[in-house]
Amino acid sequence: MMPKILLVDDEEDFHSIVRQVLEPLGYEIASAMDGEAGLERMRGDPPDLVLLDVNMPFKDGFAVCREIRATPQLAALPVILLTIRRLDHEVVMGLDTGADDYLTKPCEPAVLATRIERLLERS
Amino acid sequence: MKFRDSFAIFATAMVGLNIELLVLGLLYAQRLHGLSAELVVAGGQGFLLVACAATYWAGQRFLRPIAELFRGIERFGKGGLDHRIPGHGIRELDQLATHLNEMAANLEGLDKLKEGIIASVSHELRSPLAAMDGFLALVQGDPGLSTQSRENLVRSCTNLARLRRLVDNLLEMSQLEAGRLECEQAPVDVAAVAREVCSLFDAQARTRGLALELTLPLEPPLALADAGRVRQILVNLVDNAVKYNSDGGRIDLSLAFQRGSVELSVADTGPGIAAFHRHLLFERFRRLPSASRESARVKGVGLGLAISRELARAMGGDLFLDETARTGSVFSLRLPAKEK
Repeated sequence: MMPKILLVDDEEDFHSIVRQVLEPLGYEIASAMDGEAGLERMRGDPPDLVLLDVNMPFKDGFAVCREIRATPQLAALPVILLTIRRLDHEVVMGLDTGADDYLTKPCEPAVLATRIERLLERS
Repeated sequence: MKFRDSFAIFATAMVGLNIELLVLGLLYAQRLHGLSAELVVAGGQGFLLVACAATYWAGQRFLRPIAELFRGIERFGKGGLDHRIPGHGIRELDQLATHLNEMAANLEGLDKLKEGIIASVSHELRSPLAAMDGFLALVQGDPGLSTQSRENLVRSCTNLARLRRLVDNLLEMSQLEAGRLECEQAPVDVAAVAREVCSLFDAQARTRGLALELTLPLEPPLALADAGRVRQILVNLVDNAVKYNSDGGRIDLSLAFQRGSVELSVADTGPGIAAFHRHLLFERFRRLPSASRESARVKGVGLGLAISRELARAMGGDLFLDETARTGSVFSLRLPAKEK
């Protein structure tokens, strides 16, 4: 059974890149273009892991992550936050919202893949 | 009335009053009659005139440097940092003028440095970007590319185009600030430019189900402007009208001749702009909070309208939001009309 990863990001280009990096490794990739749509997908069809972009308009990654942890059926989902900028206090804030990891874009495909593997092993 | 003039008049009046009183006192004290009295009065009046003139002149001389200081500060405040306040021989005021002039010179230097940095960085960025454009175009010509690679290539080119536009915008903005952007002033057939811009956005509007319509008066007026810049502004306005519109809506362009100006309006049926955000509309690097999830997806850095308005003003016109529109947004470009 292919592990399903949901990518929530407002940049279409990034969806294309993630697909090309992770699909050959045997993952099924689902896409959502904003925070609200992402949460709907998670409730309707829970993935095995969520890749969450921080810099999204309307509902940003932090807000989505908080909501995930506050929703009983989703609270245990592994979440990796992704961001273009990386400031230390943002990392702390991000991890405080309950994320399992925090990566900067662009990220080395090997790094992304390994982090996902480890997280999925643990859960 | 200017402080300078009112002070001079006041001083003169005081002096004049004192002299009058002096003359009257003299007359009374000496109880002069006849010719002596007339002589004293005449002398007094003469002296009065001279004293008044002298006082007025002294007042002006003293107050002119102060007026110059005020004028200088006003000009600095408006951005005229190349102005220098002249000295007038009154030591403390001249010192003040010198300090203010030094401050202006420093600010001018900083401004030039900033422009220099933006200009040179933009130029430096342009070279590798142009090179990338060239190489990517060459790679696109390779027939042996896989479908996925071709798609990756197209996406790269789109992002590259975005980056180049951003760099061009930055450069343009810095040139506009320096007043170094050259705009022609020639007769422009605004109707023709509008028609051209409409045909540019035809296909895009159709895919979004947007009706794009241009209404022209019977005798389209000519404007005195720079055709290329007018086109650039119109493209920005129509592009926004398309980006921030709901599918199935309308974009209406209309041209009018009003009191010596040519006015071109672009109206859309999008979410409009909230009243409390309007003052931010034309500011650089400002993007208004999104009114809807669709408009939240639009990418941009917030320079388009700022540049367009600067260009409009550089041509002797203006760009503004029509406040009377109740739904959607109406942007109006006003240009000086060519005298018939």
